[in-house]
Amino acid sequence: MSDTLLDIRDLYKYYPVTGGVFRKHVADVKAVDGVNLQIKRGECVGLVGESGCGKTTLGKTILRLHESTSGRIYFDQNPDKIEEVERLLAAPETAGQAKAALAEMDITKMDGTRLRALRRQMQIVFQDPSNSLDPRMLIRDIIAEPLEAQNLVKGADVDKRVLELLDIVGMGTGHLKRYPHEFSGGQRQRIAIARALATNPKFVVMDEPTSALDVSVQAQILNLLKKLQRDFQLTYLFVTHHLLVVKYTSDRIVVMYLGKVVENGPTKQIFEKPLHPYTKALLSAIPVPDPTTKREKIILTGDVPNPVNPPKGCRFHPRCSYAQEICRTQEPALDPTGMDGHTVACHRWKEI
Amino acid sequence: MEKLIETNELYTNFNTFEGVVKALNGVGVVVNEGETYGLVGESGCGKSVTVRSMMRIVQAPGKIESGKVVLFFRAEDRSKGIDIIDRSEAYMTSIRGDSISMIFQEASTSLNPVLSIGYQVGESFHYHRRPQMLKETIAELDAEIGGKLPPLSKAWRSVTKRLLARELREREAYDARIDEIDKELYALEEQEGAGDVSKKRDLNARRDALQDHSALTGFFMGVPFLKRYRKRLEKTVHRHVVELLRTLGVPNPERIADAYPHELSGGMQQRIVIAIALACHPVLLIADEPTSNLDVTIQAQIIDLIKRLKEATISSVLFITHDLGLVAEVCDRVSVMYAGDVSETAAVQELFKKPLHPYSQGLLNSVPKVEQDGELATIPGAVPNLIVPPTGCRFHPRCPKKMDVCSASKPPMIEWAPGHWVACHLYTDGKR
Amino acid sequence: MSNENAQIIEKPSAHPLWKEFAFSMKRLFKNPLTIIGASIILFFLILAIFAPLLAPPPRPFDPYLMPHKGWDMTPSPPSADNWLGTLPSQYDILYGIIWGTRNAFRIGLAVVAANLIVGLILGALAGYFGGIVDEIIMRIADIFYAIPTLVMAMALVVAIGRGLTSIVLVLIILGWPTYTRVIRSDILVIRNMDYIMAARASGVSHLRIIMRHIMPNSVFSIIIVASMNVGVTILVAAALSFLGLGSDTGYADWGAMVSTCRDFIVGPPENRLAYWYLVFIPGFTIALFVLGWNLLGDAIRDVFDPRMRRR
Repeated sequence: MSDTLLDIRDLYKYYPVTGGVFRKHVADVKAVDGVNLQIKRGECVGLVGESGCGKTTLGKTILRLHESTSGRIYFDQNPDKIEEVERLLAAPETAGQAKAALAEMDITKMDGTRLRALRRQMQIVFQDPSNSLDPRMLIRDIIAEPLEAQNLVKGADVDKRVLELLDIVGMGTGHLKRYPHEFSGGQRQRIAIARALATNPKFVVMDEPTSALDVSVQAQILNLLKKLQRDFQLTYLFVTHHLLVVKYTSDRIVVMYLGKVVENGPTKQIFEKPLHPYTKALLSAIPVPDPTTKREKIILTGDVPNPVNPPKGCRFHPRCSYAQEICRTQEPALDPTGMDGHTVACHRWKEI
Repeated sequence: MEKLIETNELYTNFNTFEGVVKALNGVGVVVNEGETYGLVGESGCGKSVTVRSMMRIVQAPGKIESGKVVLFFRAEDRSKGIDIIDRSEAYMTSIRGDSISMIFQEASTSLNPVLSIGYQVGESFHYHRRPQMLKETIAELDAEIGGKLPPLSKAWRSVTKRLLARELREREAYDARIDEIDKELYALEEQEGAGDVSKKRDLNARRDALQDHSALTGFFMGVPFLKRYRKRLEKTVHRHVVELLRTLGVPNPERIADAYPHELSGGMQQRIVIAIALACHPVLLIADEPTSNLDVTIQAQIIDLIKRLKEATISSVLFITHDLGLVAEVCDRVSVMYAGDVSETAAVQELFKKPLHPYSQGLLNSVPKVEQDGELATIPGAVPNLIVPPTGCRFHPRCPKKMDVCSASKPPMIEWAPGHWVACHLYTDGKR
Repeated sequence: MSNENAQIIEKPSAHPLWKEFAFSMKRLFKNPLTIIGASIILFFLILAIFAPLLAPPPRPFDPYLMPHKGWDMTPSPPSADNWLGTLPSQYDILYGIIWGTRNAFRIGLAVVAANLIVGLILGALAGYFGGIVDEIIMRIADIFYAIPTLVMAMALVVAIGRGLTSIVLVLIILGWPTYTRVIRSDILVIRNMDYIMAARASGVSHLRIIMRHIMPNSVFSIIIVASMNVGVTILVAAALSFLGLGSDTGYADWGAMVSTCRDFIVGPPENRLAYWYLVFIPGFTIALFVLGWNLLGDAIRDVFDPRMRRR
């Protein structure tokens, strides 16, 4: 078994914009625009960015809840094999050979039984538990649904497993025959987590799991998620806009801006020495719950541009105070910085 | 520091189908002049209901059951308050948007989608600054009439001027009469006793019945074509709108004034809402979670704007939020609310350094810090249902330091240290 | 965490579904509209069930044929023999009203039930799958909407052949677009809810998602539409009968009863209101029946519509 659990290559997700009487395809919303990302086994990767940067879309595309436009997602595959396939793909004359291998390995090409089996391995926890639990289903049925859909457990064992799951997320046993609306927000999120864990997944996408919760409950859920990760060797992709939450939970932080990864590095490094100007601004904008520290804030001008028509060159240049000619014309690649696993997409990161 | 607004033992209930939600349980809040005052708490703790009660805009099933909301806005004597709970609706309308303004969480729903930004910002000038607008327009017309013009346009301008002057005259007379009645009302309020309730009601009714223009002027203002004379007034208002937007740092204010809300981004919409709130230089700006729906970088812009404006124009800000980080950054003094009660009030440094109430302590510990090591502390349980709120101190079922007395009686608010108030049985009777 | 659980201590109680139902019923019957609407419908239900006792048919093998004494074309006013008077040809109005109730229920319920089933299936398909399926179903629905219902219904009834059965058939053919639209728009909202996403992420099949998540969540809005539509259906059926497309003269059907006295709506010059009972009694019955269903529909909406729920 290799170290890398999830390997995303050149992933694109465009939403077509149609116009006119005949619904002609006029433009694309470039929600995810060429993302490369590796997630290690047992790691928690925090995916941060502002609304509309494509972070939620990325999470849902990995789970095939949205269909990707192009790109490859490998889950739990041998890295040598991935490299081989990627090599074959890169050369036009051997690309045909790669196709056959991709059908086996690439999540975005899977179908039917294979996809269903994959769903056992990857799960998701949504932002608002009042939307993610069917209001007309009992707690027992909600948690048992993945088990039944995957034919994992049968008969009386279902109840036993559901009780076990409820216990894992710190809920009592008396809740089986209740409806979601009888619970508080925090309890509902626990139920949603129990459902996500029902099939013993390896990888869970956390889509802003605490943003809809109150501060005091948020801490309970965050602690629970950390504990579960330890106990079940889970790998998390933690999507959020709340940087302090990410700092608390994640080993690595990936910053997205307008569909692109702009910086990717270990949490500590990102917080201590952010390299991309956008990351810097983002970090300085966090309101810190401590009135004695008065930090210098970087206040960005303007708004996030429209992802239908992102700026040319570096996408951040219209709001960037360091922008130069090269930033307006050339798109920066995600460069390694030499520091352990830290990459940044900026032309001028060395100077600033 | 002088008090600006004060609530006293405010009780507000909501009669819902499931039962009576006791949203406010005797809330007392004081905002002083020149300060940024924060109300923090989790959802459903009553922070929004508190400020809505202050402005008397509690929505339908909600009702202010008892309590006082006292304003200290009187120009001649700031120490004397006006209790607005039993004032007439017309009186409240004259205050809202003028001396107290409010901005809400959702800028997109605070703006009317079918009216242009210029119109919506201009409304406050129209309602609360009419005489000033009229005077400026008349002065302008005077200057034009004095200059060189073809006779026909000169005639039209002088007609316009006369009509506007008439409006101004009537408006000034109206304002004078309102002032008179208000003086009488103040005088009545100062003498204690319930005997003159009917007289008070009578005065309020008379105040509401007053019209700011005569029937004839109303006719001019309402009839198509005839009402064109007011175009000049609109022009003056529009100029003020553009000026205001410019001072708020809105890029390209002329274009924005003609735009409609959906054409603007969330951050820009919130700027417009702030512009509307600030149009009349309010004494108090109430900001109800103004940045909760915005991204961090846009939030930083808006917070920066509010801070700068507070320095420049507004005297006080009442800032509602659930984000302790924002509180630390923006506020001077803070009240922590829980389940309809104010549990602690202190200067912001004091509160973060030495929280007294177990709820404040739990809340502060459960937020991830920049230098967070080890597990987050949590407050067990969840916010109670306010239809059947816990007895005594409403926090006692979740409190780690619960005592027998806590479920029996509601703790009084006491001043534990100068300026540091707390409502907890741990501190009553000089214990601890 | 342990005391969080302590907050909700399991009370031994009935099945939760029953609890929900009982709660809804309690709400339902707190509403005065429900009481009025339900009593009206109940009254008609009693009429329909006990028709053989209330108005014993002279020919039990064909009870819907109204008995009549003689062929006198002049209607007679209410009397001891005929409590509500008679139609032309001396058909007893009371008998017609009582047995007509059965027909009204049959028409209303059959049409609405059939529409409900068709609407649920088509609406679910269109809403859940979207794309080309949605386009085809909804464009056909649009075509139906474009043609005036009454005109189309008349043409179809004439084509199939006169009679109550044809009316029912035609109303089923013409009625489904309304239901399909309501269901579809409901499902469009539900489809994007996170719980559908969660089910898909667990590998739940489409059929199961429709049956277990979408149907239970959209069924209430359709019940509301259906209960309101019973009245409308009766009105259209009565209109068709009145136009002479329903049953033959002498058949116990409210619309047909009004139709037979078309010539007597206005009385002779000396007393214009001489035959008031002819139009008024069946007409009033129809109105009452429709009102009953509408009130009931309103009340059901007040209770089940989630937008109305928290007031």
